[in-house]
Amino acid sequence: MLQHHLSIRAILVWTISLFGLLSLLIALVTGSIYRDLTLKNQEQALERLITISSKELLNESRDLSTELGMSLQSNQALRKAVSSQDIVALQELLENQFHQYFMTAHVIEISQLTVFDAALDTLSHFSSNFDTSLSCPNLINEAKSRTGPERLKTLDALCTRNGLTFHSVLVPIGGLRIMGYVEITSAPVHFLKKIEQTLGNPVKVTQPNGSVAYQSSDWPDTNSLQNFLDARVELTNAFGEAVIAVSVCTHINTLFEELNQTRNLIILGTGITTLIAIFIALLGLRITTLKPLTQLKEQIQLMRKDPIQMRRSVDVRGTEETRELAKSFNQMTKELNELYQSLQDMAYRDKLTGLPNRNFFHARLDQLTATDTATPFSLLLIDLDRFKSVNDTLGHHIGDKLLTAAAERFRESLRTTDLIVLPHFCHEFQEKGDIISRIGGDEFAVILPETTDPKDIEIVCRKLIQSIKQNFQINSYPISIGLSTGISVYPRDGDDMHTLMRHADIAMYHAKSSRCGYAFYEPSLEKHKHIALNFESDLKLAINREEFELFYQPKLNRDNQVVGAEALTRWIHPEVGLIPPDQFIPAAEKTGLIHPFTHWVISEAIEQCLYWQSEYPGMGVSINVSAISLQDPELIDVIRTQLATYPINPRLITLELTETAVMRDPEHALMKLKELSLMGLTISIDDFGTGYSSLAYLKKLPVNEIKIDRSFVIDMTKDRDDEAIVRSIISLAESLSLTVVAEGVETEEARQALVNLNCDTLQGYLFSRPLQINDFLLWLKEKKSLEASNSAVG
Amino acid sequence: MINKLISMAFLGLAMFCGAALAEDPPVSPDMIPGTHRVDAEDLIRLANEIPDLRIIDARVANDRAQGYIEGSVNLPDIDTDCDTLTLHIESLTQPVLFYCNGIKCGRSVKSARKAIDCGYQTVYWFRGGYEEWLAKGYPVIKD
Repeated sequence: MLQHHLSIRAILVWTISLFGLLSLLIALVTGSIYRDLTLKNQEQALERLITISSKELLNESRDLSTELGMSLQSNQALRKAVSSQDIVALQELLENQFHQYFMTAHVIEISQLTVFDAALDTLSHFSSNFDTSLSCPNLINEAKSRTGPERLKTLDALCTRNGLTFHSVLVPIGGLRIMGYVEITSAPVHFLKKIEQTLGNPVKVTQPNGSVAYQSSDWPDTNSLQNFLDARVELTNAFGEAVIAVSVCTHINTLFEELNQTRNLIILGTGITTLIAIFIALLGLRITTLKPLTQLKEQIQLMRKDPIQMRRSVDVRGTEETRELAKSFNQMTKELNELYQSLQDMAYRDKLTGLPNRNFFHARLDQLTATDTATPFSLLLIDLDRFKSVNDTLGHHIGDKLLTAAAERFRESLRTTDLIVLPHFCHEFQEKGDIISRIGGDEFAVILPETTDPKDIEIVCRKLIQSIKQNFQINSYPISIGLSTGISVYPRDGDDMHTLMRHADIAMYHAKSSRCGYAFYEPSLEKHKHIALNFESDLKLAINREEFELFYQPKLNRDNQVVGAEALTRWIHPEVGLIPPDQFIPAAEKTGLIHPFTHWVISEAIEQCLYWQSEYPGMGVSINVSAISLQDPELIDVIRTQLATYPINPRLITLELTETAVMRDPEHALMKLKELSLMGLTISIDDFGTGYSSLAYLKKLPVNEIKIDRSFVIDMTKDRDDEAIVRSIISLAESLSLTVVAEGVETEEARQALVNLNCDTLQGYLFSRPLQINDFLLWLKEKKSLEASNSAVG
Repeated sequence: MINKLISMAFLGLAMFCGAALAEDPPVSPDMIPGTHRVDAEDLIRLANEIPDLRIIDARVANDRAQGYIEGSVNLPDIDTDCDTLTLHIESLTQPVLFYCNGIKCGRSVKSARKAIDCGYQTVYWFRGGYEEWLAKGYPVIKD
């Protein structure tokens, strides 16, 4: 667990510190050992000094005793007393000598004088203590064991008597011819205490019985003894007996101070060395490892923040390993960048057209409207006109090719760049080119950077319109499409992506409905479009609220008699007002609301038709059925129910279907239409002539009526081609025994022409625009009364 | 100061030259014809075996004052002749022993030769002399 929190730096510092501590410990332990050794050495040295000094001093004692002995044996009186073994005289002599020497000279501290005969038997002795002889038996025994000239030599030894130690010196009496011996027994302490002068240290001499024979006045007391080094030597005599102990102590404060000083120096040195080692190690670590690692880490952070940094490689210095790591890192970054680029491409490019897609466009727009980099620009929303019918009639594969071709033309007419730049690092992207992207089915969007002047924008719009003016040739079909463009300008028309897009959409919607090609956003467009934009949500409510209404446009025969009416749906929006079906039917189809809506229209129209039968018997009603409705499985049942509910001749009910609705799925349409036809309903083909339906196929359908599209009718009096079309349609209908209805009859001239061409039924503003039911009924009444008065006049 | 140094240097030089030029004092011969050479132990044994052994210290008084072997009489070699010898030795047959400071001292050699010349029959010569005596730790007398 601990290792997760430790950095390399910390581990290094801890390790070196630990070693530093260890060496400190070793230094301290060694110091302590050295101290002990030094003390022991000192003690041994002191012991040697004691030994040597003691020997010298005892030699001095021996020499002085020998001198006394020599002087005694030269004494004639003594010689005489010895040779005559005159004990009394000897006693007297010894006592005199003892006192004389003891009192006057005091060179040695005599304890006893003993005189022996030549066989070393005691003749006499004198001492301060008469009870015990202090003579040294070992010494006497050694002397006794000698023979020949050896017996002339002086002997000495330390001897213990009564727990005290004495120095005995045996000197021969009688020169070259031995007469006896004199033994001088003295206290060695008298000499040994001189060690305090020779060594300059306090001395203590201890007797074998433990009593202190001598102690220097400056001998330390027990309390202060710890500051002293105490060396003790037990002196032994020639017979191997421990006879007396000499102790010397020396002050070791100075030694300790020196030792402490040395120890402190070692601690200081170790500390400094450790710190230097840590410093060097950290410096090395930083240069060789940490700095390169930090560089790599920073690069990763930069890359995370801004993927364009992946194009950059890192130059790292340091050890071979870190350089190798950096190399691999750079290689990996390069591969990652390539991968990222291809991912970006996949995510942000439209597969069909190769243009940037909606995601890219939104991100780019979002980026452009970010406050910190905001520069003015304009947004164009382009919708292709008539694309849907191409898709419906010629199929998606043709639609797709059309889109691709249109995209190519747009691209050529703009200052675009092919580069798809990742939106989140666009700030590095200095490209000023226009951006065009496909944002939906047939919807394109363009950003014109730094272009806000309407004149400039209009130039671009016209260029775009111009680009598709020429027919497209797709799979040998000549196809003509138009476009509607909505324009919003940043920041005037909105300062965020959604507002700008919505406003451009409103403008585009306006352009489409007004068929003016392109339109700039204006707040006045807002109200109208607001509702349009909410179609989908409002539609559902609208059915429940019964906001839909059926308008009726009359259909007249050649004799100007009303034969029926086309029911046209209108949405009376509470806020917007009247909305024509081509604006809300696509939304209804998209949301699936088209089915209930169609059911409502059917029942409403049939009910109305039944209602006016009493007044105008035989007047039928036409109902528009879209391609989607034809797919509705309930459609048949709904109509059947209605016919069962209302007693009405099914022949009066006409279902109008557009060419494209039938051609979308001809098999299914044929099946459905056959069924409806069997039910007795009249089937009509609406907008005839605009589609691509095969006339041969039409023949197979159970169709009763065809309606010529208004576009041919309106211009037929001016355009010979249109007139020819109308003429051929009518003759075709005649040959197939179909009723022909002409829509868009707006002038009497047109009516006359159609009548001349033998057209069966006419419909148009010449007679009446679509009317609400009450107005329609009023119109019927007025017409009826007018006809009545006409006939009355006639 | 410099003068002092110079004079010391001269003194040192003179001493060196003196030491180099001085001859080693002559060493006593190993043997003196007609005499018995003895050592310290022989001397002690002779003294105990021959009660009338006369020991003659051939050194001058100054040397003798440092100490002497007990029982010896002082007769420096320079004073030694047949006449002075008779003062200490009763007859030509009485054993006599000569010693001086040591092997580098020629006095006992001279005295012993004179004694031989004067006709003494038993002459002992203690070649090691006082030095050997002291070194072996035998007792000496000081007056």
